[in-house]
Amino acid sequence: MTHADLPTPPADLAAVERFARAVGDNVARVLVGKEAVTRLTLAGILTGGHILLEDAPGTGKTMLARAIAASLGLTFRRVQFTPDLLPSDVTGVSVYRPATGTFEFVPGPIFTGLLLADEINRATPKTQSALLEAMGEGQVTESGVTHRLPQPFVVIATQNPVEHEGTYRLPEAQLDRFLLKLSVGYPSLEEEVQMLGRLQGAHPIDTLGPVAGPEDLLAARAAVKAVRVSDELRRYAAALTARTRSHPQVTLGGGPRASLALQGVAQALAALDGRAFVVPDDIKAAAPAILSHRLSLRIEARLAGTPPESVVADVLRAEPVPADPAQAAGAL
Amino acid sequence: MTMTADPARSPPRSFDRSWLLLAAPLVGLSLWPLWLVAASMAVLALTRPGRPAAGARLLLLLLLAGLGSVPGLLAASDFSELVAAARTAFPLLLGVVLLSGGLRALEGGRRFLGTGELGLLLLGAALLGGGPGLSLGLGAGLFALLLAVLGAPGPEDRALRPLGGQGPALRWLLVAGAGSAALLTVLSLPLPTPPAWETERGELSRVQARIGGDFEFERQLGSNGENRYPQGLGSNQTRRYAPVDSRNLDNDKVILGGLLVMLAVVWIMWRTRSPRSRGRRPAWWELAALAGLLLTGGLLVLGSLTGDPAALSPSGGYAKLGGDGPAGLLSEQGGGSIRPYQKQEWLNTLNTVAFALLLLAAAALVWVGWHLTRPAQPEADGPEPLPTPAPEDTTALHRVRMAYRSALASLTQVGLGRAPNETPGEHAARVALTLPDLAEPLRQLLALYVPVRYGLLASEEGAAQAEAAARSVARLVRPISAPGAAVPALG
Repeated sequence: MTHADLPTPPADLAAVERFARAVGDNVARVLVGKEAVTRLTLAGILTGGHILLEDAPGTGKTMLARAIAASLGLTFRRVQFTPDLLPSDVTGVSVYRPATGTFEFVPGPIFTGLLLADEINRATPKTQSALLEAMGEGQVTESGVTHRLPQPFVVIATQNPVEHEGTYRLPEAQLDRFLLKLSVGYPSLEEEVQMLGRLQGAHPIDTLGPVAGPEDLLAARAAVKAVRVSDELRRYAAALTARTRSHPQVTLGGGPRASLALQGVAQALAALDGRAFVVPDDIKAAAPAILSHRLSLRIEARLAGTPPESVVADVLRAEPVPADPAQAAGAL
Repeated sequence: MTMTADPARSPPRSFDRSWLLLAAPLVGLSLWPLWLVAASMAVLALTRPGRPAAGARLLLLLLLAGLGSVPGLLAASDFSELVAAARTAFPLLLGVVLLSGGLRALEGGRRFLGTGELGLLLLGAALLGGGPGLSLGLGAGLFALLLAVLGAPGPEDRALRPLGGQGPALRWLLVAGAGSAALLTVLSLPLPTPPAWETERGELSRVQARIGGDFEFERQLGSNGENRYPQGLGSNQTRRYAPVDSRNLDNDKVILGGLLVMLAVVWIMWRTRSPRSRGRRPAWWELAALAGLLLTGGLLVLGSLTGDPAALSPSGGYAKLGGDGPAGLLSEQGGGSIRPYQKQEWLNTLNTVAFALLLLAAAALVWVGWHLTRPAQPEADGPEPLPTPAPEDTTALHRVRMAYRSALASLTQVGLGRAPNETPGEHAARVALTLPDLAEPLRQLLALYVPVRYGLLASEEGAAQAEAAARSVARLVRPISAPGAAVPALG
């Protein structure tokens, strides 16, 4: 359905809608036919979360991250994760200055607005875990000193699902830190042809300018938090998460952080539509990207090739949506 | 006027006071056993508005009330004790009916009616209850009554009433209720002795029954039907006892019990024939409600077998029949009025007519149940007027929700109802794929309904537009709901 006929949203939500439209249009200059994934990525950023992009090489994961950073006017750093990457290469290191006789902290590339952790699963678990504190707390502790990261701070990580040689699977704790796991997906034939025409000359990413600033992003985040979520929709979100824990093919389901993520991303999706309230469609739209990477499947399901997304689909099918009853079925 | 929520402020937190309604069973504390009070509260919690079992609350309460007499039934050594045990359930059955009615009224915002019904329960507890804890029980009951009244939800929290014309439906309900009450009153008028008592008996029969340990009834019939009282039984403590005979029935209760059993049969037929229900395993509350219906019906029939009419029915029934005359009327030791059979013949005629009317009503009920799954007949062309909501439900929020429900009911009728896991938007998209003509009115309706349902945003003009859209949906659906029309395949 469309919500074109809704009452006029409050001014700050209208601003969020304008902000999202501008960013989406800007990204669309670089990526063709990726409106859905762009929208979810924006929702994740508006919620204050970090995004994991998982897809085959050459599908535009890095380009999406760069386009988002350029559109939001965020400082952008890219770290290519490799097996020999050390935690200090990411977070920074204290260097001894003989002149002053003291240690001086040299910030790593993590001190940026948007960090692209490219092929994150190629780094060792130790280096991957170095991101934990930064992603969870927005700070880095080195030699007992805590350094705050600039705000807004967003991590967009990418990983390749088909290559397993020389990779280290992200631990569950690390996966849980990512608000969303998205797949960019291949473009359709028409979209690919359109992309070829657009990229024949200079790459548009080189000329992509910001359409908003970091302060706009922070204001939009504040507006998103004011979006109304009814009690029954909160219950619906929590019930979806709880159902993943009792699914027969799952050994470890979503936790309370997943429920919080469902609520937050649903609020952001509503705000992107200029709505001051969440509808069940927002939660259902967010659920696959939020829940699938938080599930640990049983060995039988893994051997059978069951993807976590199908478990999430099962959960969405099984959980009744809070809405007016169609009819009191069987009521005496 | 547009009502909007201030997004800068979180929605106000409010205590869900409808939980206070759970205190209602305490009103009968001085009359009911504690287990029944506790179990009734549990049933109320399980049947709160919006829950699947909400529609079966009365039947679940009846099941509870009936269960109390089951041990007595099982322990009965003869038929008379069986009847007496069944009768012990009657006050409990009446009490839970009052409880259920009062709660239903309070949940619907009809505080006076609800208070009145629960007040009747409290009054009954005061009159029939006893023991040293009576004052305490009545005090707790009064407090519980106040809590229950406080728990009546406000207009915005009330469960929506079904569409279909609240005003006319209520009037017809009142008329039907008054008619039933009049009929039952007529049926309970004093009637002459049934001829069965006049029949010849070959040998002396003797029946003794002890009810509740308080009274002993004894009667002996001679070979000509006359009463013979043994020596020493002529005191005032000795009452006449009418022998339990299947021909001596308290017709009103038999009919009521029979209707309940018939209702159970109709429900089973509906449950097995309805396309929506076929193949679906019955829920626990459906089975419990069915058991409640059957148990209540059985108890009413069993308890109506006339053992001692005078003890049973204060208004008479077959009681207060006096004299040892040739007509076979019993004389009450210590004195009693004589009601000649001939003078009350017209009452028997009236009783027979009433019985026939109730049988017809039961037959109509079966017919309705049998044809419940047939699609509705097409109505005349023209916009279908939406029912006028009750005065307290005239807010824009309720009008929009009722309009959506109306449209949903129309779609459900043609097999396009909303699945439990579908959002309203997903449902509308599916319907639009199947019936493209419905896409636009459904889009309009949802654009107004979704803000109401999830954002509490509504306007008067929006409510009117929603009602117009619901009428469009009903009009477009009507041709395919006609018998023989092809129902579109689900998308």
